[in-house]
Amino acid sequence: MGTYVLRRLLLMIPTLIGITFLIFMLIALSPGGIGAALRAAGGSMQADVGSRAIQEAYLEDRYGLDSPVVVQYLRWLHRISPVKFGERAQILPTGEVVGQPRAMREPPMWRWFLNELPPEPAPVALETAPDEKNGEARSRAWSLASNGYARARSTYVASRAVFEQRLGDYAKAIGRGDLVDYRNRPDLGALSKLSPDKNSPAWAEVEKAWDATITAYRAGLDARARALGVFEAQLFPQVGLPVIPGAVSVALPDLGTSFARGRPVVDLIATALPVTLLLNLIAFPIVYLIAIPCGMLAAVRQGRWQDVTLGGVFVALWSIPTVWAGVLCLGYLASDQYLGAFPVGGLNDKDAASFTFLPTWGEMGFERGFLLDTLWHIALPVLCLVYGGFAVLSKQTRAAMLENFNADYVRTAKAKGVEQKTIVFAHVFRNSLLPLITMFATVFPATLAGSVVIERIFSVPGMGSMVIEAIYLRDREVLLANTLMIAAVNLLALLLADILYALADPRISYK
Amino acid sequence: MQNRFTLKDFVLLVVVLAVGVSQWLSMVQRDRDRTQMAKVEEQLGTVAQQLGRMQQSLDQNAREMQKIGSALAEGVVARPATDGGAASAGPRGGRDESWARPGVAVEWAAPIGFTNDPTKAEGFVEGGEFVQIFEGQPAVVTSFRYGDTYGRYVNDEVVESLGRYNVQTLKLEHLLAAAWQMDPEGMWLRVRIRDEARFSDGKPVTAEDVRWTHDDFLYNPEVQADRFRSVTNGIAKIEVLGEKVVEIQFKERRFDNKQQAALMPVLPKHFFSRFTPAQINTSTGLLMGSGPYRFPSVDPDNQWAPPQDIVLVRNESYWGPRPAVERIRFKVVQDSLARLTTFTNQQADFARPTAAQFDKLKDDPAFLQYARAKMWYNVQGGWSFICWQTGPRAGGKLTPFSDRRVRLAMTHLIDREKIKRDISKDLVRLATGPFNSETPQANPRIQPWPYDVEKAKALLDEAGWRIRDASGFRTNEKGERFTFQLTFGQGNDSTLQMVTYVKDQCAMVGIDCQLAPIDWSVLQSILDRRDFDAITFAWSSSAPETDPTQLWAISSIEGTGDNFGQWRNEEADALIKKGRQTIDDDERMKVWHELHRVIHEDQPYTPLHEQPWLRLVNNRVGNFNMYRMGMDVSEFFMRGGAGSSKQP
Repeated sequence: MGTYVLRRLLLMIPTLIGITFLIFMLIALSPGGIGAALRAAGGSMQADVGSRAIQEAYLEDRYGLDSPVVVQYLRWLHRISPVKFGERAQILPTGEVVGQPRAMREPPMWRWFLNELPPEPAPVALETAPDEKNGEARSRAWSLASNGYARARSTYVASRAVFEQRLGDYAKAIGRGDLVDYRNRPDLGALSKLSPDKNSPAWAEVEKAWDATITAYRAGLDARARALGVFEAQLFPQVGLPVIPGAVSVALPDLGTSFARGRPVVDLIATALPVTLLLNLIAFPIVYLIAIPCGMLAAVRQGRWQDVTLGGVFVALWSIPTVWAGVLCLGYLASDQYLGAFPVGGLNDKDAASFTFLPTWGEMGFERGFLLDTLWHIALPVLCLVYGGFAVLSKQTRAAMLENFNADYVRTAKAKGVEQKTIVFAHVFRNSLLPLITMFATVFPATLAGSVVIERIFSVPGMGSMVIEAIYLRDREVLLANTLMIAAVNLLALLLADILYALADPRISYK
Repeated sequence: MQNRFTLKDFVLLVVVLAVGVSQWLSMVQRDRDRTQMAKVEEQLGTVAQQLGRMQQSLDQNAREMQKIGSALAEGVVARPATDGGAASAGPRGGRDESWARPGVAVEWAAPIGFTNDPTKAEGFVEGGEFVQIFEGQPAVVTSFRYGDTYGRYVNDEVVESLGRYNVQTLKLEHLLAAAWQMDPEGMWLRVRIRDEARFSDGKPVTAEDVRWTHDDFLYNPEVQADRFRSVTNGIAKIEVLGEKVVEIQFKERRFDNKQQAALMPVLPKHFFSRFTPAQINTSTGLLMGSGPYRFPSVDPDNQWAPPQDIVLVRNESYWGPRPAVERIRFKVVQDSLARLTTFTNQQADFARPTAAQFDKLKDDPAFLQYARAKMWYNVQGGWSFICWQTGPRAGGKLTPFSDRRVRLAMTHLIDREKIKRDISKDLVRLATGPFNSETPQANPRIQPWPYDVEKAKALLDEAGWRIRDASGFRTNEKGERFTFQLTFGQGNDSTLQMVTYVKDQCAMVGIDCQLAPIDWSVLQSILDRRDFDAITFAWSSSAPETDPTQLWAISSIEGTGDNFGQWRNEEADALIKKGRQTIDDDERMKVWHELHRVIHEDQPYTPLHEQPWLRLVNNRVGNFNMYRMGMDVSEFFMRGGAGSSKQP
């Protein structure tokens, strides 16, 4: 059993990699690509003509969008992997985690101008290391160095973007417009195979832009050397545990920062997941508590009016679309024009922050308190989550019970005069529970996913709305983190189901 | 099976009961703590309010003293002020202009006040909460970091700039500035900041705050504010000349230099410099300014974060005219029906309905009992259009629309009155061109081209697109059929109806129009590639004057500029260049009007409709005025006063 579980767990790693790779590629290959979120976020269409290329270059540099898609994927994989390679990151007093300053990307087409690139200077060691105890001085040393590098790097990125635009002009001028894309960026690989035509009218501008680029590149290398010096002085505590010092370490996965919302994905999930869990963890027991007894009743009264009625009602409920039910609930139960008995949306009253937790009877009369307020607010969303779930579960229970009713051991029990109640509860029901347990294991991951429709209608800020927005905006980090989470939970639940099978049924064993 | 109650069961029961009771007791204890905390907070709030009022009266006294001082210095006999004192701007009479550059006129601020004073309105009361519904969830509202109109909306109430547009006249007027001097050549703007201007924590607004906001916040490469950098890209340098005097220098002579400088928000250096760039980048609601409202908490560990309601409280020590409403609450409701129900349940005071909802409610007597449906045109309303591809599509073939006659024929072919009446329920009006007609930029003399099918046919014939065979399709001399794709964003019913109508009209005269629905996220890349024959969407702007270079200049055809219709018109280009360099407002408007005419004549776009603002307003909201800039929340008051919004 132990080896089986271990084997399954190890097999999950390639499966997860496969799933995330697929999603990553789907986003990358979809119209608009990964960067679409950055350009489309907030529907802002206003941008300055001249600085558009530069602005895009900044974004591409910040999120690493200028590397090939596979490299981007590997970088993402490294971030979420618990096993890290290279120097360990450090944690600043503000709680911010900083890694080694990123390497400078070499300027394009440098072979046209130089025989070799300027060498990367060695890290500049701090002349006087700030006092051990003086946290402020250390923070200052770091922020000075990192800000200096950020400035130098952004100057370089901007001048490189201008240089590429000039190369685009140049390529058009020498009659190779076919190498230039619609953003006026040339195909650098193809262009570098040509030898420069210094007599072209566009050449002077290219040279000017190159001078700016290489100057900025040198300045960037120097600034990076200084930042690296501060980083290597290890002024701050390091993250994670070393396995091979300086090369391999173990640390928590980093899910990254949302493109569109500019916040760490962990924070986003941490706000959305409890909401979804709250709804589902209330809804699921209700479904089970109602569906199973009804299924039992239907099995016991097979073919009679109880069976037919329950079956009919549950299937009818199951076939009502959630959108319609949600709108009806809102229009009739929440609107003051009709019943107006429930709140329109949200999770709490606007003054909930000043409520006590428990209901109170004070001078102001009855106050419902935070607990009742929450329950009252989630009543309609939970109703919409619940009503469709009865049919499947009660039919499943009914079928399992009927199968057992016809089994030999039930006939034996009846023959020896066991009470009907004992037969139903002690014998048949217990044996019918097995498929329900395994079904729960496979249904459980759905509790994390949230329902887009219900969340939207009732203004519930859960996982469903987060994911749908991330899809609209091609928010890579949020989508990948979410996929990873759901996939991992799904795989674990499947494993759990298999283990439960073995535990419940002695005939099944894994070797 | 016989069950006996054993000792084990007893122990278990006791343990379970003990856990339950202690849980209950801890909840009760928490509630007691909470009540205590609430009392303390309430007292703190009262103290803060009192402090704010003291600060205000101190400020007022200081100003009075200053006035008396300057009057005495001039040898004038002091007389009690009769102009309401607090609202006057800067010392009168002997104004100190030693800070200014000599030889250039100084413009002093007019007395600051409301456009429509709420205290003079009928039934005026102080206090209360104004609840507005947002249709989308803002992710971030931190200054220069937000990415949507909601973030801008919140910032407008909290953060101020040196100047602002007058909501009614649309003229640029002083806000934090007591006076300014604009270089007649348009290369610099020198500003004297008001002495009384303070941030919401009581610290004065200084020249250094202006410089710091630009140099060390907006242009700090580590702060992810690049989206906003293009808004101030004309500024070359900001120089601090004194505690309250700042000079902004510009890169080139351009008409919008003054706007850029005057409209840049001013952030408190002493507050924001406490945070690292990473803290600012990951913040969600780090916001402080000198505006009439403030965030209740500016603590980075206790900042606003979605999905909470955004609550702004009145800045009790505000230096300007004091708003009546005590709290503004922005509540997010994304579903349109839920939005309407929230409004009709009177849990919100202000909401944006869909056109269909508005049409149904505007004459509903039950609705009019407690609310109003308002419709007005203002500079923030958008205008929809069909843009014709006048250049080669995606670097390939020229489309039929490269011919002016064809574009004009298309405009004549589309009955915009009919669309307005039948599809838009008369909730729009016809647009004429590149500028919103509420702005001074638009040429009021230009009338929309009439609907005239015969004229359209004649123009098409003239352009060489004739019906030459029994198929009924128009072809050119080479025998190529007149066919084009009309690209539109999917998901909007009225757009779908409109493009279907256009397709029918085209079929009527022998043009094959194919509909090409797209997802909004790919719009930008389609525009960048110029990969369309005709495309329809809408432009909107938040400012009364926009730079036409972005959409209409020849230079914007290159690369990924926004002249995606590749319209190349030398006359218009010359006018744009001229307008950009004209500093005088009246002169420049004449140039823009001329540009409007040229664009109208050449029809690179077929302008469709201008969209008004449709809003539902609860009758509780007093002094609600519709302005050309939109509206002014700081003027409102809430009938019923404190806690006026109905408790659900």
